[in-house]
Amino acid sequence: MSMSLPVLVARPHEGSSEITVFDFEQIVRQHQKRVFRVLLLILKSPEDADNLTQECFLRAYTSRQQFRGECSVQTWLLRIAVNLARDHIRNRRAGFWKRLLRIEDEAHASVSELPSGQPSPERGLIARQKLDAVWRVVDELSARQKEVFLLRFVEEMDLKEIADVLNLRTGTVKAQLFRAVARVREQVAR
Amino acid sequence: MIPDKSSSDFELPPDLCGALRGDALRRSDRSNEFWARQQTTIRARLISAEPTKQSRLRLALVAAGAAICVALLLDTPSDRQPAPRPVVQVDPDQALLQTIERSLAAGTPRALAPVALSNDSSHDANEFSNLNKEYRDAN
Repeated sequence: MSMSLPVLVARPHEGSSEITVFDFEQIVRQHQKRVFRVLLLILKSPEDADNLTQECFLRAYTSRQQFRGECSVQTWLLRIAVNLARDHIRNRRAGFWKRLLRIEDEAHASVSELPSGQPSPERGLIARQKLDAVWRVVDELSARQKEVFLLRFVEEMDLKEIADVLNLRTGTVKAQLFRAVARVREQVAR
Repeated sequence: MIPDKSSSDFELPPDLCGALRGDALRRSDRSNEFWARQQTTIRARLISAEPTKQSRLRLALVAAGAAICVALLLDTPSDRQPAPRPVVQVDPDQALLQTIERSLAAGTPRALAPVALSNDSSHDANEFSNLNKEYRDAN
């Protein structure tokens, strides 16, 4: 009888080798949006985020027997995703300028997508500009600060979860977060 | 080392947090077709990554073959005794004949030249004594 990974997490001694592709699809459906979002925010490239999301689930499936249930499936998947993103960033050198141009284009295009409920177009535009400025600061953070910042404020994870995903101590996460927040606040205060 | 900070030092204003998260969600938002296509692609990759029973059997056979080859290679050479060379029997008469033939073909060695000369001089001496004998007989 096959079982899904969450069931195996609850009953880890029943043997994770029983999980099938069809069981794993449930995990994919449940987590693909979050994995894609984190990868997109780190990499800034929809194509790369799509490819690495697929790669992430493939890696997770092939190494499923190593999953002992010591953390949540989400933490485990995001850890794989962040590691893939780090490797990808390390390896991508050639297409740097091309990607940079595309990010700029997307940033300009997103100006038109104002959040709903804004009282006036002018105030919306100001808010949009402020938000873009914050994203620019986030992009300028160190890779680790950026990961911590995104997991904290976009994924709304607590410090312990972030430490688990990034394989850091909670104190280190706290220090990185403090510096990142200080930089962003500095930008907002201008 | 970060000195003791209040929790507010690790937080952003709530409206900014909300705006950032909302913006991130909007940026990463995709159509249902996109997610369905991604699921299909992932499923295909998972299936192709999973070894089938046939491929497992094939892998086992290849591994067994390789193990046999390695065992044979390790078993072959060094600790075995080398095979004794066959002893060639030489006929002494045949060997002597070959030595003579070689000597004749090589001609008179230089080292034997004085012997040749002495042969010549003894031949001359015999001729001289014969002439003397003829002279005495004639007288």
